[in-house]
Amino acid sequence: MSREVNGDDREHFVLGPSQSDEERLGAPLKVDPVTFEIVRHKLEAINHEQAIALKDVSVSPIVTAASDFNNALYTADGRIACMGPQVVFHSGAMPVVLRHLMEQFSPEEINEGDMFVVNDPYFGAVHHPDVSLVAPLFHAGAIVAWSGVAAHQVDMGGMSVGSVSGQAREKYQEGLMMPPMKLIEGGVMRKDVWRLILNMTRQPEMVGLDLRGFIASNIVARDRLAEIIDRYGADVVTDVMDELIRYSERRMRERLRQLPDGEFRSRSFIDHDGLENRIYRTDVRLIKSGDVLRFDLSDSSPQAPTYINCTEGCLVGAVFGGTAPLLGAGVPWNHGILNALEVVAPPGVIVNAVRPAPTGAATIGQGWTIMSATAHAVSKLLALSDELRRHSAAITHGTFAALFTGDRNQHGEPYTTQLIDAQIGGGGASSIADGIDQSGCFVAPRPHIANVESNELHGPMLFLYRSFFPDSGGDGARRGGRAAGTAWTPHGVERLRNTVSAHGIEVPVSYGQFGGWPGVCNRQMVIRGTAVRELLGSGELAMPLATLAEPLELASLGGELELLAAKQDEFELAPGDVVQYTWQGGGGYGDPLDRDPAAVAADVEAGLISATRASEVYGVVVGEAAAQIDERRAHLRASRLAPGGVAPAANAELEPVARYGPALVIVRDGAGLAVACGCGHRLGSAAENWKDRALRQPLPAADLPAGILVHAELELARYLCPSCGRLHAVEVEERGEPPLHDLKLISLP
Amino acid sequence: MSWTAGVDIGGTFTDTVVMDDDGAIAVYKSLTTPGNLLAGLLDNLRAAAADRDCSLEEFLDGLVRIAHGTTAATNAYIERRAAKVALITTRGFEDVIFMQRMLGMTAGLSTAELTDYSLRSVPEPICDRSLVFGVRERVDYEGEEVGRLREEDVAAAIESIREQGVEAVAISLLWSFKNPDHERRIAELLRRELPGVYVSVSSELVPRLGEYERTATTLINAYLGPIVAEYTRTLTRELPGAPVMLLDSSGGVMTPEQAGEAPVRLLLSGPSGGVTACQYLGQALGHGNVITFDMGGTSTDVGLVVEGEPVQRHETEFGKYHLLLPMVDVRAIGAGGGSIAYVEDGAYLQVGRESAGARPGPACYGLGGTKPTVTDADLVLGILGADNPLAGSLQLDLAAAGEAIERHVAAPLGISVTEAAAGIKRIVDTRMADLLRTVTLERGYDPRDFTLHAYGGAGPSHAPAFGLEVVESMVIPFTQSVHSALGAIASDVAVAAERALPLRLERATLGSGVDPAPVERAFGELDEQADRALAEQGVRVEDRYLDRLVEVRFARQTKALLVRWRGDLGALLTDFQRLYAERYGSEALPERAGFELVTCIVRGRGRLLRPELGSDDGRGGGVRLGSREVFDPTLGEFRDTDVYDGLSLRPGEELGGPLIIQYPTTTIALVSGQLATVDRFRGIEIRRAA
Repeated sequence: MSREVNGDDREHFVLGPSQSDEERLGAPLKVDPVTFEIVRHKLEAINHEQAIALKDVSVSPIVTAASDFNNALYTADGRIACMGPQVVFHSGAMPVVLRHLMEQFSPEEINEGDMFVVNDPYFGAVHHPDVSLVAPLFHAGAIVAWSGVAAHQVDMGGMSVGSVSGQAREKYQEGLMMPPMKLIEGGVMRKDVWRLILNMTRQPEMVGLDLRGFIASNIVARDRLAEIIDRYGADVVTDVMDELIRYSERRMRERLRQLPDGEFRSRSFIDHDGLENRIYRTDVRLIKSGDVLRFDLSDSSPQAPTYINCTEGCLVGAVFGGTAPLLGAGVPWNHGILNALEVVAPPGVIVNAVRPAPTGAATIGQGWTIMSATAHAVSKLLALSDELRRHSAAITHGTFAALFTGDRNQHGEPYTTQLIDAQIGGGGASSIADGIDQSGCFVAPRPHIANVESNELHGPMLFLYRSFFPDSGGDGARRGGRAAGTAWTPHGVERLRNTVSAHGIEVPVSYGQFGGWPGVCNRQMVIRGTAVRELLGSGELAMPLATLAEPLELASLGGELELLAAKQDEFELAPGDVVQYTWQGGGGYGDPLDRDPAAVAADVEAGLISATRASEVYGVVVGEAAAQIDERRAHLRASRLAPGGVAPAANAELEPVARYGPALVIVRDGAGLAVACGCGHRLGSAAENWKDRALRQPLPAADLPAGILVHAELELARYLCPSCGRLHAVEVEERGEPPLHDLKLISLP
Repeated sequence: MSWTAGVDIGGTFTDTVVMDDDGAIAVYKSLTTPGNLLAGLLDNLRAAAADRDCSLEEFLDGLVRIAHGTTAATNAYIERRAAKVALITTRGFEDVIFMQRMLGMTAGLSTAELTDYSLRSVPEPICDRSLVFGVRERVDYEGEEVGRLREEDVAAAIESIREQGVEAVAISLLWSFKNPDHERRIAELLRRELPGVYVSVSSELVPRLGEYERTATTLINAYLGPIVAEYTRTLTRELPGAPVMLLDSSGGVMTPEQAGEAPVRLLLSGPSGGVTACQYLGQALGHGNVITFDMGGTSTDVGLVVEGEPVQRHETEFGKYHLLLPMVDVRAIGAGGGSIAYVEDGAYLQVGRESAGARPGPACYGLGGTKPTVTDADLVLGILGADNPLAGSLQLDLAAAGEAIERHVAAPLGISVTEAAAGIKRIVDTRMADLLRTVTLERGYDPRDFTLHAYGGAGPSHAPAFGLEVVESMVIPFTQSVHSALGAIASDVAVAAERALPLRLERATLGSGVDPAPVERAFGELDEQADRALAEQGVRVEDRYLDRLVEVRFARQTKALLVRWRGDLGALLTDFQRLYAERYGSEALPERAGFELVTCIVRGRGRLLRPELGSDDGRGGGVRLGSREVFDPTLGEFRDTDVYDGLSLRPGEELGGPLIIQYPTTTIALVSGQLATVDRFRGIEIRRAA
């Protein structure tokens, strides 16, 4: 990996050799295939054991439940050889950590038995609560590999509980910031460093246990790797690690060569910076050329005055995270995937902030947003290939509402937690399946949330519900997963201190794809001074849970409603107060009027969507005959066009050379290529913006589906085929900006 | 005369082991008839009766016990063809079973599959969302009622349940294990109003913390209730008067009545029989610590017996749901004789992402399979003999095996068929050795303190090649191909009673000055409960054994360790810290964190009468059947190798490797440098030659 600054001052993070090098990639396997497979399997087993060691010892729910950690093995020069399948942000960022470490310490200063702790985002950390511990693994006096663990800590000091404060204007205010430091030197714990860390956190016990888990995890890696080296030799083991990377890179490049060349684009937004409720843009321009994929984020907003920025480690991790589960599906995740990618972002933009910009909310802010926009753009590219279209998807759960709560618990102990319940939310639909309801963070394949009973055992709270809501997933031919939410009231304590950090209150960032709608927005509130305990006690608590709009019947609760902004600085809760928050649904895929009527009927019966939604959006009334449904759908489609509808024009028969998603096609146009609606209506040359020839309809706030809010600086617009009324895109746009040119096709493979 | 029978009704074969008064055993095997699970069993019993010159009726009369493992519940669950079931839960938490704490989304996916977003999916629901009824009520973490139960909500649910023809109902409310009053009241109303409906109550079945897992376990229990009742009725009808017992997931047996109350306990009984058989055999051979290795066609199960007791676990994922259930802790991997070998990207030899299963099976079966499997490699290498029909009837096709390996592995890699076959075998064997190490090391044990017992269709042919890399000695039991059926004979009545505490203890006091009375009180009640359950299943007082255990963890950790209760909190915490340091290293011991006693568990065992495993007093006299060319991995070439008839070998016989010992359905393949000794139960003990 290298940093290059080119003439126009745009910083490139070229992640490994991004030009495909046939000599390097085509080199024959140095190890015989049987030994390769055996050693590969053993390296994978190390990752697995590392994760178990960490999870068993750790106490923070963010590690044990949200699996917000990762562990991996790296080559001696710091490339990912083999990583665990937890939150991939971390492993993706670790090469950046290792590069910084090797810049800070000379080879003579890195010795056997050392372990380095790092959490400063300007030294590769994703953000400062994500602490990494990396260990060089030696054989015969030389480094043969590195092992590393990174995980989110409940508190690393700073201005507020949980260390993620919207008040901070400089990184120095955010908490303890460690450049690479030796926590363990020559196998001996440096007590001074250990005490420094525990001295700066509000939760020394929890952080202490987590760090012990880190140490245990690296020890497992060290011991197991030594066993493998004893058996097979260091050369064989390092060859296998190199080969693993080459293998993944070859697979990635092969896949890229199957795909057309062109430019794809997606833009996502963050509402509220902690200071003011204004909009920041994350712009991903995906340039695919041959077997290289370049992500240019230069048109993103300038860096913010507050914690919603991110630095290189988070940027790299997020691009990796947005790409791997789709384009890298089935390819072993390691540096080979990164090798085929380039990331461009000039210093000073929000995705590549410069000192002393704060970055406390990087993961749930910028990192999450980069990941979503990346996945969205990559999905457009994948939608052009018949073989790979199955991996093309809408956005999964585009936000994470981080609610930190604490003070003392009902047992009188110091208590801080980040409620990870908000992980649960709608998965993005894909070209082949509906989004799933119990989806978590897109890049965390194995998340989970704690039982309500576990939350209540340790925490001073009483939960009132934890539910999914109907009509909350993005509508589409494939429907997005439903949104969930919860409400709770303090229990057994007189007060709690809280902060909340989220986005997506006024931007439906769980985007749909190809005419699929976004899922609903987040919503968070406190209802002050209610009679909830009395109502619960007498069994009168009205909780119809019928609608997302009012899961708890506010009128009967008594009390005063206080809507929370996306970011809310410390606020207190007293007995009788109720916190209620609901999260985003997943994006839909394709025009809802193309959804199989039987699937719509099944959704109504299962209570996933209302009968009203079924008839108004999907044109389906349960029990009606197919002919009536067709008729209603034709009518709905026509009424989307000009008042009264336009008769479909007689379009020429098409001979598509490719499909672009479910309903757009690519056709030959003289020497070039053109985009058309499946009905035959041409939407111009494939180099131009097809949206310029589509029918654009901005949607006024009053016409938005329930649960979707759009910030004053933004607008929701839909793009229709002017002939047949088929919905091809639903987009969140900045007011006054031209339609996003999201497809510029250069050539088919 | 009297005898005891153990039966294992598997997917392909029904195995029966009959043990006579003197401990002598006889083995019967027949094909399982899909749709009529008892047909094969009756065939076996008729054959056993004929061997003893009596009628089936007389044979049944003479049975002290017939214990069996069944897949009836497992299959009904997997295929989702059990009862129409409803769930009654706390209002506001109706979606708990659908949210699954998000654990369902990628449950069951391999590490490779986890990289693929398009493979994420949720399980087919056990009950429709419209049959989940939320009632107003609430209990808090201390068991205090903070919301009264609205009985009209229950009444409305009952009405709906009646109208919709529901056959079974699960009741699972928040914190019911701390205060079961509301659940009990709902059960009472249900039983009164809907007498024919099967009812399962979470606070009775699994009184443990964790509403999702408790609900899933209770719901699946209710779901299986009616179908298991039907099964046990059929069993009693077909085997009139026979004292039937059923094998459960924890390696114990239970009466049909008990199975009717907790049918979910049958769900994972598959692997438990083999582990119990190893425990039994280990006892007779003086092996306190055993690694059990059951390698079959599609999967391999590895379990542990430590100090004479099978290692258990209390939580498991099965079919994408998560259950709280005491079960024999078996690690299963999807690799076995049927695992398919293939080459990816022109250079990478991989084994086992897919399995050929029983159908079409390996290429050498000639049943339509064309892809090379581990079994095909074994045949090419001479480990299996083409002239030795597998399972007594299936003729193996050597040419087909060679062709499949040539086409799919050897040619793409540019190596010989022999090299390819040897590579396939080495990959699988190394993976198995890794598995044995991981299973022991992960739990804090040193594999060298264990003896390996290898069985199952492919265990005996593979284990000798790698077993001694991990352990000092291994045994291929004489009952290798019917080991689960032997386990059914060897199983005692098992009961478990448990109570979630949770009790928090400060670090500084290390338990001193804390009153152990609540723990003692809990154990007193649990003892009584377990004792009663044993009595109900006909266990005599002098045969009842109770074991008291506490789940302990550092405050707020999620993983707890099981520690034996010695009547003293201080000792408990000392024992816990020792176990913890053994498993995670002393570096991982926290200095300040307090302790949490999570659950008190009483495991009850009711010893059942059974003869000592009969030993054989005969000596020597093995019959050499001839020889064949078998690949020797150390020489890298084929070598003429003696083949012995396994059934002819008697105790005391010693034979050196390389050597093939052939049985009607399995083969043991000793490699050079190994010494086989026939033990007094006619098993083959394998060590390094001195």
